[in-house]
Amino acid sequence: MRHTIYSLIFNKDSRNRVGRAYEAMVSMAAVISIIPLMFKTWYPIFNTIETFTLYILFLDYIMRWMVHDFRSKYGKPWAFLIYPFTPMAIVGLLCILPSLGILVQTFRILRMFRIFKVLQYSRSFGMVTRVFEREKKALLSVLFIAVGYIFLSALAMFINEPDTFDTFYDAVYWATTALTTVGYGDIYPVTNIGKLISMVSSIFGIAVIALPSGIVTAGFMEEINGAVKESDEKKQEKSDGPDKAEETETEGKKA
Amino acid sequence: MKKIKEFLSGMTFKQKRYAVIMMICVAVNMILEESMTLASAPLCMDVTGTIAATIILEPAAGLIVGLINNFFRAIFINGPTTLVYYSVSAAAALLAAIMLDRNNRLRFGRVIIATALIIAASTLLSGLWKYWQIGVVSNLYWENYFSEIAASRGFGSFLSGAFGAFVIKVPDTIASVILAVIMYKLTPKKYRGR
Repeated sequence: MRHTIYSLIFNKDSRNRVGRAYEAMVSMAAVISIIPLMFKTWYPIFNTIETFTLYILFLDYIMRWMVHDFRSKYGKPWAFLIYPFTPMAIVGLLCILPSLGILVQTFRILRMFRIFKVLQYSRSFGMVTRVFEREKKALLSVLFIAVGYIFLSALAMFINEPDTFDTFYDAVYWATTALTTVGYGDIYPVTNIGKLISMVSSIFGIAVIALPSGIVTAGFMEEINGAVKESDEKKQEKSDGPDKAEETETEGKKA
Repeated sequence: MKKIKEFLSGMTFKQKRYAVIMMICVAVNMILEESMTLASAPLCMDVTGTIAATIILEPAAGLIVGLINNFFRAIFINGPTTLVYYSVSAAAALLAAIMLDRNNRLRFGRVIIATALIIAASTLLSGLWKYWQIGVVSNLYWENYFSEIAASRGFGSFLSGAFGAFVIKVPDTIASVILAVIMYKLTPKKYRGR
């Protein structure tokens, strides 16, 4: 039974109609379950939606747990014990918990995590994840530079303009909006030095924001090209198959 | 209808066997639970089919059977918060696997150990969830009855709740295990196992 469940969820190449239907069902449940969050009033129909979608999402969670030993590098008991601590399992549990009545109403927002279920079954999301995984080092370096610059410019501003920025948090908030070139305008520098820092931040921000975009785009293109190449090779193999078989047959007869 | 027939004809013997046994187990759970409620008996018997599915097929089947029953209860009675009580059936399904030895045969000693563990786990879990969700001991008459006895002797609210759940769970689990073992024995050998 666990092998059937595994091929239903994970074996994408040999997935039959039932597998595709299951994938569509989980994705639809994730999307539909978010609809009630768009309304301020809780209509009675939402209870039914909530129950159905919650059970579908939980079924997916529990079935993934059941077959985790097939995917994990650890042995049988350990794979099952580790599963709840894997990133996607944590997300899966977080999106289920608010519906169980054991968390306070504030945590209702966690239901938004359900959208990750759709992404979990999406091939494009798989590609993006692989790109981030591959470019991890470069992206982390850019992040480190950005965080460092935000901290330094916030500190400079906080020291230079104590009247404008009540707290250091305000300064960090300003530095972030300036670096990302958003600039809400609710807090702004008034001294000449402050304005200079602001100008440098905006110019530097363009470079810092452009860097990860370039890295991700290049990685994504590489991934897409790889997928297209793989698909072409498979098509070629399929089209070569019958001809090659005929050739072999003819050679056999000649011999 | 034609598509359903096509789908069924595409199923292997093993798949059909699993589907039929699991459906029977779901029905057993529902019928027994409803009967106990109608008879106002101090039992639930709602894990009989779950335990039977585990020992006749495998723990994964027991887990699915428990979830289906829990789903029906959520739809028709209590709503989505019922899902927390799935932990009780899940524990029963997993612990029932202890009853079988390596050759998939029932052993009396193992049945006793598994029963004791199921009682302990279900008492702890159902007591905990009720205490957490409702704040009071229980919404079941018999559990309340025994909890009140414990409370009148000076036990705290959680302990009285756990005592109420324990008193009910002992005969309930024993009866469920006996029925599940009978179902196992009644199932022909070729339909048992993975």
